[in-house]
Amino acid sequence: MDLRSKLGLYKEGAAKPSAPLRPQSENDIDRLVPGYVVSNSFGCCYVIEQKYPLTHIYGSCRLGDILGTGGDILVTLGGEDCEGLAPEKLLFLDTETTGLSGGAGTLAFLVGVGFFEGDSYIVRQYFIRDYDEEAAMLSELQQLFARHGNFVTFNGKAFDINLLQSRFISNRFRARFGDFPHLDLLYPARRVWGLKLESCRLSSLEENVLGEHRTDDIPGALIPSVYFKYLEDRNASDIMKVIHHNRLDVLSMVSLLARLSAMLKSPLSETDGGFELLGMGRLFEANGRTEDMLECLEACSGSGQFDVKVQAVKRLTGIYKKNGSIERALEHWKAVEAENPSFELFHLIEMAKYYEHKEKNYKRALPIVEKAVQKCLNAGLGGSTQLEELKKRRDRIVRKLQSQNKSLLNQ
Amino acid sequence: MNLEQMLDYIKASDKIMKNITSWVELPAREAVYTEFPDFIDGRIRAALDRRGVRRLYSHQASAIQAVHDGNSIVVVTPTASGKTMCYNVPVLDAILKDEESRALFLFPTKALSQDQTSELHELITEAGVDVKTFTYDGDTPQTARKAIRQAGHIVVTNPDMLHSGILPHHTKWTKLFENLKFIVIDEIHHYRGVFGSHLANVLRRLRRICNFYGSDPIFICCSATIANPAELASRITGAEVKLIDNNGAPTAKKHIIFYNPPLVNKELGIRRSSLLEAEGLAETLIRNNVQTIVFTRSRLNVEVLVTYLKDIYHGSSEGDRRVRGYRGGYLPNLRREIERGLREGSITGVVSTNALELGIDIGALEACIICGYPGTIASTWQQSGRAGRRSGVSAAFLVASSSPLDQYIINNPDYFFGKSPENGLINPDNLVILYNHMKCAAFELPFENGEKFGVETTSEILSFMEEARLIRHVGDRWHWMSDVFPADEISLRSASNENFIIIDISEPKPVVIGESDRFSAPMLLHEEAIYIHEGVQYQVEKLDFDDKKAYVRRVNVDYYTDANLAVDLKVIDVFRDDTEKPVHRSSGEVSVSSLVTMFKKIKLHTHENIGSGPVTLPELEMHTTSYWVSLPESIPEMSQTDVQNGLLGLSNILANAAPIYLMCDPGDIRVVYQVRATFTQRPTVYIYDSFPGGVGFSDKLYELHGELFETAAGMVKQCGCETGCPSCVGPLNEFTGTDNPKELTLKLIDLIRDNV
Repeated sequence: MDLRSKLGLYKEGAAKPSAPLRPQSENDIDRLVPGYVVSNSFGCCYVIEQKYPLTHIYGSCRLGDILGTGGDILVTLGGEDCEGLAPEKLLFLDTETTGLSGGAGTLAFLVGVGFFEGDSYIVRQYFIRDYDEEAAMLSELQQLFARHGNFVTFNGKAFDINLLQSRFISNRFRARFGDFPHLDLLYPARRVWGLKLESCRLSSLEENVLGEHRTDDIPGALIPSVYFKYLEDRNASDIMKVIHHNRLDVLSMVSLLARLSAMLKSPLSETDGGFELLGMGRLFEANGRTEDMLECLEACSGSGQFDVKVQAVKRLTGIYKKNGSIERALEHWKAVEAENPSFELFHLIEMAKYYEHKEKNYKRALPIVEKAVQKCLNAGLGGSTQLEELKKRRDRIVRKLQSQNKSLLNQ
Repeated sequence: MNLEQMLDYIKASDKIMKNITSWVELPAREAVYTEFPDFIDGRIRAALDRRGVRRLYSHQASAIQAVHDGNSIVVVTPTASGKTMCYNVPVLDAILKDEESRALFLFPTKALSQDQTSELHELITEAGVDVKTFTYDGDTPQTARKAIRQAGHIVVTNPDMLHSGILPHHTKWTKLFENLKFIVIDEIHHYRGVFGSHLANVLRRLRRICNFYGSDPIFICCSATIANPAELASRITGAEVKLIDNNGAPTAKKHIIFYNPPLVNKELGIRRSSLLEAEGLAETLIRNNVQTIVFTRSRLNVEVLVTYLKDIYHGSSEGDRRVRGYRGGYLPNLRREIERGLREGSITGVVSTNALELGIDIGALEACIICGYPGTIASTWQQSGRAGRRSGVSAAFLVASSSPLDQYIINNPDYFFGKSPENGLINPDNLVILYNHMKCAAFELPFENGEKFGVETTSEILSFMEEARLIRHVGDRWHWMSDVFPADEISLRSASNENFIIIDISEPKPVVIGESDRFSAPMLLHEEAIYIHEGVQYQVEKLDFDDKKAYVRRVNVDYYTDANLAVDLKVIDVFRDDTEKPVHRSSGEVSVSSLVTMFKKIKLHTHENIGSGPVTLPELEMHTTSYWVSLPESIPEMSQTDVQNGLLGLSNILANAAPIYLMCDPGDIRVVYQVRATFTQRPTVYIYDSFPGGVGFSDKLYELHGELFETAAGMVKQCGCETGCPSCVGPLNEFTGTDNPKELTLKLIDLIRDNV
């Protein structure tokens, strides 16, 4: 028995008739997607380029809007690395890869980059028509990266840039761009929209925040197999969809940045005044911009959405308690109580604590605790630890009240 | 009584002494010292000096010098001979001389790596040097991994993690691979069979990656005593390896005692159960507070024995604390707790499978009882080394079971105490294993045209892989072309990576209590099976074969279960054969289907059969290599029934004779016979590797054909029974007809020997 049949035996159904190595197709990439071939000492690869005027609107923003973005905004979004970055030098980047789990054997077959040049925003996409074009693509990217010296991505810290670094190493390029300033929009986006949206994937943000609805978009999980199929039959009709998908990703990152930057400039007017504004508070908080955070939270505490109000009050009063402005905290708790919420208890507990420990006004504390106990019972929380703790607190206040009365009598 | 008094007591007892076939007192041995070589960094010298090490044992000095000269080495020394110094010292020294140097330490298990590196940490701390040593395994927190990849001088891991966590991500480990100077492989004799064949391929991948980054590490291996340590080390590492075996470590006095349980039925050759005898010995020792470890062959016996030994404490909870079981399948936290209990002395008796054979630190035990020959001499020495690691008198008892192999060893002590005849065998070119690792290798770096991955047929396999649409040939390279992460599909430990989990549903909240590999699951976890864990019996209520889950519930019954396996075998290919004489021998490739058909209920203590039930589980199919012997279609003076009985006896004896040469567990090979084989049309006995693709046993057996049957003849003749018994040709109730099965078996063996 020869090796081949033995292998066949172990790996059932593996052997298929082999196709010609580089079949010709009527629908190869150069027929379907206009572009050009770029050559260098490593070989060549295919490039698709599209120019957009600065006035082009995507995701309800003009692409040129971000050119006025201040450096402080980039720092708030991307951290201190991004200090001194000029918006006109930003390099937006997104890759499409042969696998989603990473590792040395996964490569990027399509790398889309976006940058400003003169009066345009240019989206350039490097596509390798086969594995042997990778080195040429990486060489082009190396120069481009060196020119820009930064990245703007969506989840690029965990994925795209890591993967490209791995590819550079595997191809013996000594390029080191791991410490370039890198604005990964995923992290600020999670802070801002994590409370509002179920998913913070780029596609979800695009639809729910930017108001773009993609039609006929290709699901990410299918992309590797689309490429493998293209390698075999050279029919680029599905690859076309991947290219389109990638281009839109590179566009929507600009629009997302514009959106975030507008919101950072004037959080009160540029957000929904609800969860988004609360999210802005989280973003400011993460950057240590306390004043801005308090402004957002104060605004949220007046929100008509009760959930927003409660979350804002919890966070705000936590800060006020720490920095000694407990009276301001008290105002907020009272405001919550004024809405007479059926389930919320925290403000009652906080108020009871305040009257018991701060003012030592047990008379005022007692009815508040009793109300909380009653609420607990109404909510069917009998026997819960929360209820037990409330009862303990009530009994203690009653005792204190009695001994206060006694000492008053004794005087 | 202390141990020495107890040994005197045993010597004075005729009742015990009549069962002892050999009592060897290994005298204390003086150390052989050599001075430190001059090149060793002063800080290491000073640190060792502070810990009382002023000179080296001779083997340590040889090892350090050989490594310094740039050789790959394998150090062969007994347990507790200070072998870790053989790698710790040269590696530390090299790092102190060149801060960029990196080393990779491989241990077969996570537990072992934790233990062995604590010694390294102590040395580094003592020397006050900045050498970063990190353990990188499945338990390493994600947050720590990045720092380890970049800054670790010494990365301690296991083959599994190297295979799936490091090599496929080599671009994150550039610092390590560019500067890798040493690869330390401890307990290399442990890597035999499937595991060893896998490791050899993992190291092929590692060397490929090192080559890419321009490094060329040397290997420092340690092995227990086997016949071919240098050959095995060189097969595994693919490098030329220098043997260091001039052991200079001192040893304390040790008694090695061979104990053969008494015959209870001479005609049938039935001996008292080794388990019960071992229990008796263990009980005496534990009662006298002699800290004792009992090794048994199976997980089942661990649990049975723990149950028995706890009775020493009359059912009080003291028994639960003082006597513990230890085996694979226990969860890590429980294992750590038991190891600690042994070191601290709060546990007096532990019953273990070979899980505790390797150097996990459980302190110095006084006595060791090996219940049933562990299958290899090397293992026996390692297990007995668990008693008396440091100093003082210790004793190791080997209690033979009535299996032919045990009986052979117990009656032939020369074989045991003489030069090791055992060969560590691997088959790095096992097609299944090789193919899987070539997938991983292609994922890690594209194959170049003309590149060789261990075998001459590399490019042929690559073409096949291309047809399977896994790789793509472009220009002069083969690129990985799949979104699958290939390392995830391979387990280095077993033929299949799909473990079954065992879930206890006795309480409202189900708890996972253990796991089992796919090929054992039908045997151990069929519905109604009694599964024993930590001495507690569980009955399997439901086996979800597709989802690989067994649901068990606590029970209290007086029996255990034993499943029957039915096997069908077809020959696919013949590699070698010799058909000149009337008896033919061959080796080749076969397809084996196995099916568990029924199970028996066996009563505890008396071991009688008290019932049975059917099992309906899917058939498992496997392709593997086999060696077979076929006899003439008609044999003079033997009826069809005679031949059948003879073949049955022959199969039973061969299953025990073959492992002597293969250094494998009896379970690693299987023997089946066919009275009229489909393939040969003749009476045939097959011995096949019980791993897909085979791991090199069959080819070795083909070569050892003559010796194998000599030994088989000896085993049958030496047995004291008259017509056959489980110690030689098998239990009599398996045979039909009226003729003496022992004679029938011998007739066939003689026929084969006449035709060698």
